[in-house]
Amino acid sequence: MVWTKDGENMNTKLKYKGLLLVLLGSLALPVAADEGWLDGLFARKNGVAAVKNALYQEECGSCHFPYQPGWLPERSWQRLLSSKALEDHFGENAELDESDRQAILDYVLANAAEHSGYKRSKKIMHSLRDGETPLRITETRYIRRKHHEIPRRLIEDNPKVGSLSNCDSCHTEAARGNFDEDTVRIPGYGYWDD
Amino acid sequence: MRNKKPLIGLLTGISLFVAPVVRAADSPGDWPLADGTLEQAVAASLPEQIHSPMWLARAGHVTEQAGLLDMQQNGGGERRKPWLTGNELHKYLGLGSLLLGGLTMLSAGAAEGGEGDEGGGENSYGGTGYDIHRTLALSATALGLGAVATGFLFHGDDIGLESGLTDPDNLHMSLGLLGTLGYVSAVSAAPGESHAGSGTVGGLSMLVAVKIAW
Ligand code: HEC
Ligand code: HEC
Repeated sequence: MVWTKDGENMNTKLKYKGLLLVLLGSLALPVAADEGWLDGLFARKNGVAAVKNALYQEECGSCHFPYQPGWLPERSWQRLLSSKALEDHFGENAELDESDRQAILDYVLANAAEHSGYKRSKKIMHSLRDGETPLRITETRYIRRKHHEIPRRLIEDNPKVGSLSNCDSCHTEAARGNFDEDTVRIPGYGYWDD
Repeated sequence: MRNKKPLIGLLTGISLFVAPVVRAADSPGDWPLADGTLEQAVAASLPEQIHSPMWLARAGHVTEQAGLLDMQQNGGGERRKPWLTGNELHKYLGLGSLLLGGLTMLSAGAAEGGEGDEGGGENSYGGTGYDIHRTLALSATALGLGAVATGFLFHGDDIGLESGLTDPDNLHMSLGLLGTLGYVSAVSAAPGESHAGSGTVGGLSMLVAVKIAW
């Protein structure tokens, strides 16, 4: 290619503009990061939103792992958290006083799977049939499919696990909402490689 | 001379994703043989590793053997995470392809005005700028193809047409595929025809694909 004088000028001009952009960018980026403007952009959303509610954590985490609201749709939480249902919650009495129940319900409904931008919540919603209202996370098709290869002896017959409902027995970063397969360690067995 | 360039590209690409792997193997926590008796474990795992065509994917089984050795020796022990999981391999390939794609784009200007152009005629391409651009592009494409292959291999069960494009895994797969196709079509059009469009579409698709899975 033959460069004319004009072409050369254009080229150097473009180069300076590019350099200026890069300089401005490298100044602006740390500021933006510091101000938290990029949190939404760079936040990892490949798990499920972590629980950020002290009351929920305390009341619903006393018997078992405090399941993130993003694992079930609104309609499931409504059924699970009615005062009647809480009296017989999987054979246990998980009754709450009315103001706590309402506060927990509000929190859970606002963060239910259909309102979440996190990947696992979207996968759960896609795996539900129309109108299907699962009362267990472990009954959803997505979670069943993800675990169907794990033999009984590593779950029910494993004294350190006992039930698939005990997510945090195997998912070492469950509390942070990270259920990535590389973070799984089944007690007494170790890393699962399928 | 010139026909060695694709090879160089491929080697650069491969070394780019082998580097983190070697690093991971160096860290004692992940390395399955760290506290077994080294000779035994190596003897047990090497033939498997070499004879198996899919040695990367099967790295986990090597770990299992090391785990068994541990159990026999220590009366306990659990299966450790392999030094490279399929999931991680896919991730490194995708990120590497995105990074190299970006660098390819940045080097495009240099490819045009290279010193090698001066003496050449219409169909002669050369010069350092051109070489760099070409090497980066070929590497990005190689890694992209690798990412597509490992994606189907290790995460194939996460995708399915019935949930449509709003399913995050389906979207990730489609964009990753589109990105790689963009690279491939840019590389096959280059250097004669204009290929900035398909290259850019490829890079942007790759960027969004990675962001979705992030
Ligand atoms: C008194 C103990 C107790 C309390 C308090 C409690 N739960 Fe439970 N929960 C259980 C038991 C027992 C199960 C059944 C676990 C099993 O099958 O292994 C269960 C199961 C669940 C499941 C289904 C898990 C699955 O298998 O997918 C959900 C969802 C759940 N609880 C939500 C809640 C919420 C929300 C709260 C707070 C309002 C709460 N639980 C408080 C005892 C309790
Ligand atoms: C017995 C141990 C165990 C328990 C308990 C368990 N999981 Fe898992 N989970 C696994 C294993 C192992 C895998 C990886 C499966 C695979 O890669 O094929 C997995 C995979 C997953 C995945 C998919 C990860 C990926 O990268 O695709 C999700 C999501 C998940 N589990 C959620 C849960 C939730 C929610 C609970 C509790 C309700 C739970 N798991 C309880 C062992 C467990």
